[in-house]
Amino acid sequence: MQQDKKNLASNTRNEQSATSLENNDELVEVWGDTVSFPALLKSILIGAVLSVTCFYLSKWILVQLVADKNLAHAYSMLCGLLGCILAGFICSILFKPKREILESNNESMEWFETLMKQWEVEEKSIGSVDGLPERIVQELKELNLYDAFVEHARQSKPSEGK
Amino acid sequence: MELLFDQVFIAFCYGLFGAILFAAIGLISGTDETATIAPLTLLIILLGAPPVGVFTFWMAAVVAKHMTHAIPTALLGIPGDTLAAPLMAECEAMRKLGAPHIALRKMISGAIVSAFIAVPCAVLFASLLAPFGDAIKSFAPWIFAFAAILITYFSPGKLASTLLLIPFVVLIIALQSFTAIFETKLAISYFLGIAVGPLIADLFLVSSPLGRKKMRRESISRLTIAPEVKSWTGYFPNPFKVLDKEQIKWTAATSVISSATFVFSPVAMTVALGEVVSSRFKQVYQRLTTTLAAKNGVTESTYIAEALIPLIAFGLPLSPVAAGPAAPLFNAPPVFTVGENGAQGHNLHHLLSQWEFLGYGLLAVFIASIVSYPFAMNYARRAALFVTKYISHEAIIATFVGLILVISLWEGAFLGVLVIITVGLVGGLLSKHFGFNTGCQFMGYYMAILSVPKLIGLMG
Repeated sequence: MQQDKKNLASNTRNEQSATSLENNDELVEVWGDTVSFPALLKSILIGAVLSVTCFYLSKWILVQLVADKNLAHAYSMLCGLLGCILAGFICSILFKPKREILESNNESMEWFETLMKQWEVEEKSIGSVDGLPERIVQELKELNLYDAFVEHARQSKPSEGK
Repeated sequence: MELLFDQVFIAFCYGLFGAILFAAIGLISGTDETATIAPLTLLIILLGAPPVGVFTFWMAAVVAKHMTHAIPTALLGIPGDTLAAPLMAECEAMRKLGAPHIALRKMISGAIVSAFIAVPCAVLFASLLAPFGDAIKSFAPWIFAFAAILITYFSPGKLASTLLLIPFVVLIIALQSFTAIFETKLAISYFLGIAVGPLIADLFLVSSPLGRKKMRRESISRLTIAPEVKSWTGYFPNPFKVLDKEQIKWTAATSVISSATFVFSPVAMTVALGEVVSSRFKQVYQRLTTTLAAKNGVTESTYIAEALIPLIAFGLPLSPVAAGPAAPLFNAPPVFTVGENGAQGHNLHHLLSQWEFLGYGLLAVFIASIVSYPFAMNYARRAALFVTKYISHEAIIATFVGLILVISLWEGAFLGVLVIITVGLVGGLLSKHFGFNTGCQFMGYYMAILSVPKLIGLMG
């Protein structure tokens, strides 16, 4: 019953966020990161037009200037690539990244126990800090993780005994 | 003597240029090494760079990029490129422990130790193999076919990948006979098409309302970046102090082993040797950090060996790296050729001696480590923040769309564009849905141009 309520709550939340998004751009995941669909179409257009124009324009000019035809062809590729970078630069000004950087605040160690439990479920070995090399122990202490591992080992031992 | 000095100076300049350029490119997550290193190396070859310059540029670029691509991998959880994929699980665990910067430092310190080991080892193994070079060359078409079957079977797609070689090879042959009608022979368009396949496939998918529904995201992506902790003084950290004794030992051991294997994909070697190291350690933090150092070392050394051994011993691109990012070192017509149909090849294999490969290889690793290593160690957090905050993914896609068009138009005019789109779309979809990854596709390409003509000849 409680489960149902939770599902219902999450459903309504999803609907809400969906309606609020209608005002914004449509977000899609392309090639490993989130982009806005209209911005994506515009940047593809900018990238294609700028690079191809740079390539053909420089080729047309270079063929008249440079005697060696192969060299003119290679240099026009270079100009085309400069066009690509220019397109990237323009798009990075026009379209802002669709990323949010969260500040991590790990003051409470509650997350550590949750993580350990999750790893135990996944059958990852946690192991013991006893007998670790000096250097590793020092690193763990600097990260404030040494005591957390010791505490975890102390808590989980009785349950293993049963 | 003066001539040697001039040569070293020229090589140093090219190496420095490659290292700085690719240290910057490495920061942008998702930039595939084949899609970036191959075309730019090709460009400097065509612009007339001397052989030592080309080689030092390539090596320095690879090592420098490998260092900085660890930054988005460790700190942001976005794979820096395809090589970073097998390290994602450990990196994620380290991020959850709140120590992604430690993960990063272990990774790149492992890489630098490994790079210095891999160059002499690869040269040594190559010189052991070189006497058999001619015998191996005459069997090359069969070795390629065998390597292709092996590599595809160990790819994520397993048996499906091996079977997918058939339609993929047929597609390449069909496209080649199609462009032959117009007397056009393409190579780079196939490479680049395979390398940026996932992007091309995604762009097609997102333009369909059905595909867009699946790719839709409710919110922008959220990332956490851990606070900075600096554990050394001065600008140059000492990698031997960042790693502990066990970590140095395992990194060195796995580097030597992986320097000898040059026909397997770097990703496969990383996964296999990473498992070996990981199974030795019980304590989770020690296991994660040691595995990361060793795994990143393996990607580095396999990469170096896979380029150096075929270059020194055979002059034929007999490995996934040699066939992909290092391809222009073997084949960049009209400057470098592999020599098809019995013709004598002409590439870095014929132009540089074994000692030159060793010397300039070490020079390149040295340049990359003074440029990239301290930069990545000191500015990792700021660099990652800059890229995440200011470089939108739209801008990266715009640049790549331009790159695809320029390179294909340059190589084969309109036909080049047709080939790159077809190969990219098919390759990208096969990689996404069957695990027939880019390594498999490169092997498929070489099977099509080297093994299949022999096979057809055999059948009469």
